[in-house]
Amino acid sequence: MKVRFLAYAKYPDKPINMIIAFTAGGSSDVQARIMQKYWNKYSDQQWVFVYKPGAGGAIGFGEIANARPDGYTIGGINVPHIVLQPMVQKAMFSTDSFAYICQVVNDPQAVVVRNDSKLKSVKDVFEFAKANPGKLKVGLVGPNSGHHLMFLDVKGKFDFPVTEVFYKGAADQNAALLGGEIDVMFGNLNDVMRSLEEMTVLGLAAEKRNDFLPDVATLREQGFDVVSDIRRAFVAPKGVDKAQLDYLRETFKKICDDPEYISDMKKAGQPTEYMDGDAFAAYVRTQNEFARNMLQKAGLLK
Amino acid sequence: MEFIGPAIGHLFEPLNILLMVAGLTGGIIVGALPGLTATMGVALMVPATFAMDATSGLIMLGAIYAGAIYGGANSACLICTPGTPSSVATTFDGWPLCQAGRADIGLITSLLSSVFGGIVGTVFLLFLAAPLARFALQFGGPENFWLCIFGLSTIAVMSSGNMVKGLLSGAMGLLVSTVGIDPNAGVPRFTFGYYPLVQGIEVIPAMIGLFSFSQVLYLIGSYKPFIAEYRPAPGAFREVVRALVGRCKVILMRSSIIGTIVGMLPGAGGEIASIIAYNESKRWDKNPERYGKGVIEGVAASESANNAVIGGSLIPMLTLGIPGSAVAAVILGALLAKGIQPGFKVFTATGDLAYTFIMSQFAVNLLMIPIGLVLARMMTKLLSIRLTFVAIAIVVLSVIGSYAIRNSMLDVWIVIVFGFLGYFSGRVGLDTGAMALGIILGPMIEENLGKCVHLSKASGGSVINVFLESPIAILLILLTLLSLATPFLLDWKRKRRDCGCDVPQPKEDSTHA
Amino acid sequence: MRSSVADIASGLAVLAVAGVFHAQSGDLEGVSLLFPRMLIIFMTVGGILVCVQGLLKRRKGEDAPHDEPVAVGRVVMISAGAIAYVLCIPLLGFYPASVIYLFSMAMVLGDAGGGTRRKALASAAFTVVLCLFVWIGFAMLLGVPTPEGMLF
Repeated sequence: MKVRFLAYAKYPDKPINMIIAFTAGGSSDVQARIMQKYWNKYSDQQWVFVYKPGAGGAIGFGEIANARPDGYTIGGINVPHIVLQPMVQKAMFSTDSFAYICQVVNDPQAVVVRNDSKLKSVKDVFEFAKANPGKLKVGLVGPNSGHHLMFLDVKGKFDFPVTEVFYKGAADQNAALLGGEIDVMFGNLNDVMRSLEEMTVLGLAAEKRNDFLPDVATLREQGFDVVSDIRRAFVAPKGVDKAQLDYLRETFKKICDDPEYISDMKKAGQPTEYMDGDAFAAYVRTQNEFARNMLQKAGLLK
Repeated sequence: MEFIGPAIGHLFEPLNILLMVAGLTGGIIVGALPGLTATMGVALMVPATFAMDATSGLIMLGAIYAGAIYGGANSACLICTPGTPSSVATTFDGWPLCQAGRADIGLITSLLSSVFGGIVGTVFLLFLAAPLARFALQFGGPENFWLCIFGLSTIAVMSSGNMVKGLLSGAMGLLVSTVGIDPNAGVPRFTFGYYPLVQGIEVIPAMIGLFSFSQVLYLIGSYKPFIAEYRPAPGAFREVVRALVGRCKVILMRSSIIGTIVGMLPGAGGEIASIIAYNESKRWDKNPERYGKGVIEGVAASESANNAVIGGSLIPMLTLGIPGSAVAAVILGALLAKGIQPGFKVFTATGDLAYTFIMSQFAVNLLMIPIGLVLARMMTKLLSIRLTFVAIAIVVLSVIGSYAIRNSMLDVWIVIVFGFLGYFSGRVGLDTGAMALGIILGPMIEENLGKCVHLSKASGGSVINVFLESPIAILLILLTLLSLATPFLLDWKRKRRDCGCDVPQPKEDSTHA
Repeated sequence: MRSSVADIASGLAVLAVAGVFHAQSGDLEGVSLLFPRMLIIFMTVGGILVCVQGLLKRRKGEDAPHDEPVAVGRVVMISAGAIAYVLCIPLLGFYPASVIYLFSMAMVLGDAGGGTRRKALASAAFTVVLCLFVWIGFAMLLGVPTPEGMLF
């Protein structure tokens, strides 16, 4: 007992493994690398990046959940990924497998069209869809993804008879919109920012307007009550020592408050939003309910 | 265009020259080692670029990319093990050349064809980026689906020996590729009760198994003390140059254009481009039978195509933010981390960076000739090492390379299992090339077919309508039919020649092998 | 291998793979099943066809052995070695397992010539050189991760 106590006294005393559930150079990796720069400012132990990509992140999330909770393995997770994967893929973790450190990114979904589109507002999109059932082609990343969830939510709330097409990633989805295969897409702001020269964002499915596009109104402002986003957070495996978790939470908070960190994130096109661990855990629980409802209604859950 | 002058000036900065030379050397070595691919080589060096300015970082990544894609040809020629998946087709003729004692011809052809392809791709990137990017966008679900089917149909040309076995091998590859999460319904399939299989069978470990590990078994099973004899002849360089500017110039040009176009399409990369280019060369050749027996044409087609992919894949990446290959995706990540937004603006707002990068690709390709020659000479020393040692070393390199892809022991096991599969297939006459093609194309076929089915809802409910609405898809359907008819056309041609209705072909072509 | 035997063996292999996948496709339905099912059917038909081809060849006697001799013992040896090697990695760690594998394989498969002593020296030198190469080139310069063992 005493030895353990001493060991914790100077946590961390060796490098910490940071599991990234996506490929090196991907959006999650870029974000974590920016974070690492500031982590080194507040802590004298480095992060060792371990990439465990596969199955849309489920492999890496499972690695974190099943790692030894000694405080030396932490990792990045995404919501709604960790909510959906246990429901539809029999993944090796559940939302209860993690001790949440904090949320760092809130990437809202956007309703996007090409610059030359006739549809000039979200209202146009809905009216065109209603007037021409099945003719409007909407691109989503999926299936069983955050985009899909938003689509189900929209279909549940409004009359939206469209043709949905699934893409395996944001790059394919952007290409399909630009190439005219689809007319509208639900895409993440961070991904849309890459091709902003050619696309127009009609509305954001967020609570409030975003700093990146201050002129774009939220869906709510335009009369459609839909909020949908992808959140990125850091977690430790459940069962990690309280003192260690507190240390991680404090250090991450310091990073997220650092103005230089915020400006670096902005330059990289990553919409930051800090939320502390407990609040985030509560958020995950509400998302769990929401997703289960949606999928059950759509008959996608057996 | 006002940026080109200063861009060339930047290339002569000592740091940039150093980065190009180092990137190329490192890239060629990474590419040549079985197991380590271009994607991994570039991805591993991304963190290093965070410490440099954006231009230098980009120059280095571009140099590694070009070096690694060429580097794969070295091991393809010397040990019949493609160092990167892009050089699978190089083994078809490069390895017979090596077995005949003329590894030098194979290596020099690979080098010069790579340089040629790389330069053609970069020319397209420099002058036609905007219109080509628009063209690449025309490839959606139906077009990509038919492109994949066209790619599959080349099996018919590839395995002209026994078409049924070739098709069965392709089907086996396709079936294996369905392991993992189904792209259309999002549910796990064929995991055999073992959860990690939901991530699917990754193409690269499967290829390492099918080609590298099975080659180890083949080599060990042969009673030879060395891999192959090596009888370098003076004047090989001149001989290759004469062949390339002479009878191969059409092949080089056609393969480079195929490479550029395939490179532009998101999802299709060097591994498909080189196989298509190889088969097109074979299809249009006067006597296609000599392919696979060690002809310069085969090596030239495959290697010029896979290096042309580089320029092609950078076109949509720079202009639209849509990467044309896995490596381009990694480079895009590095760009975004630097706060550089891709787009057509990239050529004006950050023109200095964009043009320096493009001009550096020319410089890299030219530098590749001396560096490649020196390294190739060193690598031929491999042929004087005892076969047993080479074979055991390949096993260890395959293990570390496959593990490093996603830090998973599953991938190591995939190498072993596919190694046995490949060895067994080779012995009973199944076609490992066709199998690999199936594994690569399988997920793309299913995903794009799924898109077509979804899209058909807006076109009156019939998938056929979706296909017929697209002129590119119709063209690809016609090409596929032509491709499937090729074996019969070849047969007919051969019969005509045999009965003396045609002018007898001069025999000299088969002697240079 | 005679070409008729090769045909029959390849046909049976294709049938076996199709069979295994068919057995696994139990709870799949709809779009997930469509594509694999088409392939399984194609492979079943094709597999049977190739088998029949092989049998016919044998009956007609147009059957020629067509390949070079194979050192079966050596192939089995390196296969078994590779499997043992991969099994040992999670236990011993990458480097210790590699050292053992490289040395033992070089000893077992090394060509005769010189005494055991010379062979052991050559094998040891080879092992050290390759491990150093991997360690310096991959782990140090490139930062490629290697599998960790439970013991090391």
